[in-house]
Amino acid sequence: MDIVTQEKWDRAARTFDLMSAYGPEWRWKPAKLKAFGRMQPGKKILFLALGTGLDIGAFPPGCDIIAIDISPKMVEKAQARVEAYDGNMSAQVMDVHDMSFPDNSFDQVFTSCTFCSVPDPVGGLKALKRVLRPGGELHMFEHTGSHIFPFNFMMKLMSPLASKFGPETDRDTVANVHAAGFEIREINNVFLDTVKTIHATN
Amino acid sequence: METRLPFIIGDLLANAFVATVAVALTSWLIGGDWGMAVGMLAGMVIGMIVALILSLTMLVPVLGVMEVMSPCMLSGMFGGMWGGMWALSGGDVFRWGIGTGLIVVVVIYGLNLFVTGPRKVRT
Repeated sequence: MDIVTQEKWDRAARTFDLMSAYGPEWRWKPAKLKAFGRMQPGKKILFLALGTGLDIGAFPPGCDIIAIDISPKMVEKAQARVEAYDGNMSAQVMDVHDMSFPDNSFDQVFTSCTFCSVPDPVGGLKALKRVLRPGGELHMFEHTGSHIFPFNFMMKLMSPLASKFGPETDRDTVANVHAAGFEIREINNVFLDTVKTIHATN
Repeated sequence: METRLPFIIGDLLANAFVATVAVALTSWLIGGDWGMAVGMLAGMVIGMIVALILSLTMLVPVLGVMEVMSPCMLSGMFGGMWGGMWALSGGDVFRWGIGTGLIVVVVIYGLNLFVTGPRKVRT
C-alpha cells in the first residue's frame, strides 16, 4: 500500500465534497452519465477510484459493482451512497498497484479522475489489464494534460503544486493507456482536450 | 461541456473578476516601472498565480474544475500582462479586466466547440 498517497487522499476527504460535489459534478454529470451508462447489468464491474461516492449517482441501476479507493476516509464517507445504490455494490480499500483480485476477474473496468493521481500510471493500468478478462472493456473519465498552447504550459506549471493536495494536471493518460497494452477504441473530449472519456479494450 | 445559462454567466463573471484583480494588482505592484518586457513577464506570472488562488478558493466549488481553471489562468495571465506593462488605474482597470475576461471566455467556448466531440482511434 502506498502510504504517502493514502494519507494525501485521507486529508483530501475532509473537503472533497465541498470542492467537488457542486460545480464540478453539475458540469461533468452529462458526460459521466454517458460514460458510466455503459455499465451493463450481469457483468462483473470494477470501479475506481470511488472517492466519496459522488459518481454513483451516474451509475445505471441493477449492476454488479466492486468499487475500490486507496483512502479509508474516502470509502467511509462513500458508504451511505454505496448502500443507497439500486444494485449490487460493495466498496473496498485497495491500492490499484496491489489489487488482491485474481486474473481476469472483471468484464468491465470504469475509472473516474483516477490516473491523474495514481503514482505509477502505466503500472496501475497494467494492473487493471491483469484483472480485466481478455476482450474486456476499460472506460475512463479523466482529466489530462493538454496538447494545446498555452494550456499545456499552464498545466505543467500547475502540476507540482496541485499534486501536493490532489491530482497532477499534466498527465498524458491516452499515451499511458496505450503503453499499458490496451487497444484504444474511442476518445471523446469533454472540455478542450483536458477532460475526456477513453474507451479501450483488453 | 455543460453550457447551461448559469454556467455561461458564471464563466463570464469569473473571468472578468479574475482578470480585473490581476490588472489591478499588477498595475499597483509593477505598473510599467520594470520596463515593457520584464513587466510583461512578471505580470503574466503574478496574474496566473492570482488566478490559481482565486480559482481554487472561490470559483472551483461552484463552477467546475478545468472549465474554470484553464480560462481563468488565461484571463489572469493576460490581465497581469496589461498591469505589468502599463500603470492602469480607475476605470481603465475595469475596462481592461472585464474586456479581457469576456474575450477569453468567447475564445475558450469557440475553441471548445472545435476540439470536443468523439474521435475514433485506430491503434
